[in-house]
Amino acid sequence: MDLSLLQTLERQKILQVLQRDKMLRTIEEERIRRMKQDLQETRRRGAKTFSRQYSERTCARCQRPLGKFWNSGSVCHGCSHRICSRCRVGGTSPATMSAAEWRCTVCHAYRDVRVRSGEWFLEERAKKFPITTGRHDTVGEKLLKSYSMLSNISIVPPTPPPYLDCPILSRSGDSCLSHTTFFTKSVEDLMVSFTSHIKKISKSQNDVRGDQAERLTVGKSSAIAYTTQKSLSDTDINKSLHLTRGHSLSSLLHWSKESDQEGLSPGAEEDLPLSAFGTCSGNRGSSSSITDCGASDSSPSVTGELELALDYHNITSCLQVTVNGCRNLRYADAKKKKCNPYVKIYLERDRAQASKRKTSVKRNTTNPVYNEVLQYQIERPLLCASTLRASVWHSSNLKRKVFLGETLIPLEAWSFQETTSARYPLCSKRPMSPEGGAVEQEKAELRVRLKLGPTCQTSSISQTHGLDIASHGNHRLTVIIKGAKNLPMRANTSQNIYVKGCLTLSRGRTVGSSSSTLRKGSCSSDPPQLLFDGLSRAELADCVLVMDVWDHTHLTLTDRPLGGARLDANKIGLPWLTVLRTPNKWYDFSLPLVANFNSRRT
Amino acid sequence: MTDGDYDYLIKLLALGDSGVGKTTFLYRYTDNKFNPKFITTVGIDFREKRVVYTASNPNGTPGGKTFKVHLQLWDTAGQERFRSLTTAFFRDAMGFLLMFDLTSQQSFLNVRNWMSQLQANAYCENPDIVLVGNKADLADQREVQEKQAKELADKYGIPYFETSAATGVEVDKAVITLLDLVMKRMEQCVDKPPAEPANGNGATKLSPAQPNEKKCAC
Repeated sequence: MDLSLLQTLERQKILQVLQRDKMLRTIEEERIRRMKQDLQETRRRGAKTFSRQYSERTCARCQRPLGKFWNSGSVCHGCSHRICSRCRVGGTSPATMSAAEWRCTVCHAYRDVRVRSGEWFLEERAKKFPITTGRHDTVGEKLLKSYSMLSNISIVPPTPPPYLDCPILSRSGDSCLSHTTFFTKSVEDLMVSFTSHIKKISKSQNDVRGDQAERLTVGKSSAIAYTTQKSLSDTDINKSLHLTRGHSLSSLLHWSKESDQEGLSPGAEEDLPLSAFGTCSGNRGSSSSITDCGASDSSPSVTGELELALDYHNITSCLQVTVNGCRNLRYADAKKKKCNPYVKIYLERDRAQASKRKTSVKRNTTNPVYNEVLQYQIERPLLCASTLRASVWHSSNLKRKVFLGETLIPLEAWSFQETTSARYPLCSKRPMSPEGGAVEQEKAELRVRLKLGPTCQTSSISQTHGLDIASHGNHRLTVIIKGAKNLPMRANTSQNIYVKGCLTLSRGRTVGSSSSTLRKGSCSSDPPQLLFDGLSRAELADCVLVMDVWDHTHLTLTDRPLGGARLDANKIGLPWLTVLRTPNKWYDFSLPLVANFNSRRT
Repeated sequence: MTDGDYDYLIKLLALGDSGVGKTTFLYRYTDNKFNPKFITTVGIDFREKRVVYTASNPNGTPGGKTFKVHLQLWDTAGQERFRSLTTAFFRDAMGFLLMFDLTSQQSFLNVRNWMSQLQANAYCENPDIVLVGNKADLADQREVQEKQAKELADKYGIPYFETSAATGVEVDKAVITLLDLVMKRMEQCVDKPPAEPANGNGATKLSPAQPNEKKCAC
């Protein structure tokens, strides 16, 4: 039965009636509660309990001694206790009445409660209509419940609030619109992701948690109130959830990115974004403050150029970046004509802290001269696939770093011979991913280190022309999982990953291996690795190594796939041949992780 | 308006064809007023009244204990389109005022249908019912004779009253009689041992009527 067939006005009128009924029932429930409390009290006051010894010859209610012949008491029909004549209710003259006519005080009180509370009615009804839901639920109650849920959904705005422009948010937000249980669940998820991601920022985390808790209680208390109020507050909650979640994620991502790029000292790195994050999550008004930072940094016209020289030493596998200086930089603070520039470079392949190099800071100049050499130890094949990102920043002790411009130098096109310095015009910040967007989610990567070695010690390892040992089939491919970056951040991600590897050889043979768990933050001396034994070099010439990254969750039964990486010997060509040619030497690879690998799941 | 200061909450429900005067009947009972305008009830509604009930002693003499009873009087729409909604509320009521219009033969004929509706949807097979013929003041338009109605009521074993919401005749008595039946039912239900089947004298109310009803339907 539903009210959907009725007109809106009729429905409203009926719901009003049901609300009135609900108020009446609330009063009734309170009355029954009091009544049962009193009954409990009566029972406690005058009842024989098992903990104490009673002589047979006492009244069970008042504990008065009973005589053997005179005032001997009799057994109550309700509780089968021996009761003195004073503790009997019902019947005109208890002493002479037959036992069926009276009850002891407690039995009487119990009976009375059953009558007065309408318990009798519920019992009778239960005989005809077996209880399916709540015993005390009336039809009105059920209707009210189902209807308030219905109206709830219809009032909630179908689109997320406009100030959320991040793709991640709209995806996660949709689910929490639909139902309240989703809501609480997503709060949990949120908390889990918080704790796992920003353990450091305990302050702001507590802020947000408090905020959430407050809203939750608001939602609960309003549940008793009228339908419209309830649904409104639910909307509110949803909105605020969007916001807090939105902030936390976007600012998180941004924070990590900004701090990364700005190259603050570790201490400052924590202080600055923390305050920004805190205000952001607490205050709805400044919802886009962090997101806007990037834009406002780049919005003043970026001017100037950067003079760099690149040099690669094949023998030492060393890339030297000579930062000569900059020209015509813009002022970081145009009013005060302030500019303390420094240059920061990354090798884009690996944007971990390890690849960050910085020059010193030159004070009060827009034409700084550095002449500093920044070095990278990198294998040439890897270098080919990299991009050098050089950015110029204004450093200030107290305020945030100001972005002054950057340039990207793809090393693929670099001839390796050209060592003279060149001038690169600075431009505004380029989005990380081609998709752009407010949340610049970086591509997920799996970093591995490969080595080809013999399974057992043989004399042939020293040989460099590998074809001699091609047929031996006694090679072992060792893959050390160095780490993974930018894994798809899902709620509940434990950050404890492990890798399943599958090596498909040229003859169709497959070898599998599974690594131990790589725990987040732990830098154990024994990194997880995959071992593939019994390989021959011919087989390896065009092998495909597929590695699936799994999230090792303790709570759920099934581990969650996070992505897969593929190392195809034919595609990466030269680097793979180097691995084959030089056994017992480690080679680093950064492999892009792709999400769709369901077909390979085993 | 209401507080918890009462001994019993008794839920009664008025049912019957559209326009027989359920709403005005209840309005007369609770507020002792009469509204001649016909305003059709939307789905369901209810009215409340606090009464003092004097329990009669087992031997039938009055003067037993008095109780404060809070009456919740459900008013249902007689219209067919609300039927599924109104019948759903039958199961939450402890007693029923089955009403028909003394000036409408059709409403009287429909009493049988309402009885079967009650049997199907009320909390038990033989709930406490009072048959009420309303609009007794409109003597010149009368279509249902007292004898007819009395016979039907006897067949079901339920009390019958001819009331008038306009004048207030017998209105209170009909409700109080029903309340009395419910109160007695209540005592019975609690006092009888749970193992015993739930018939007693109540079962005789509907069972003799059933063969008759089937005969009529054919």
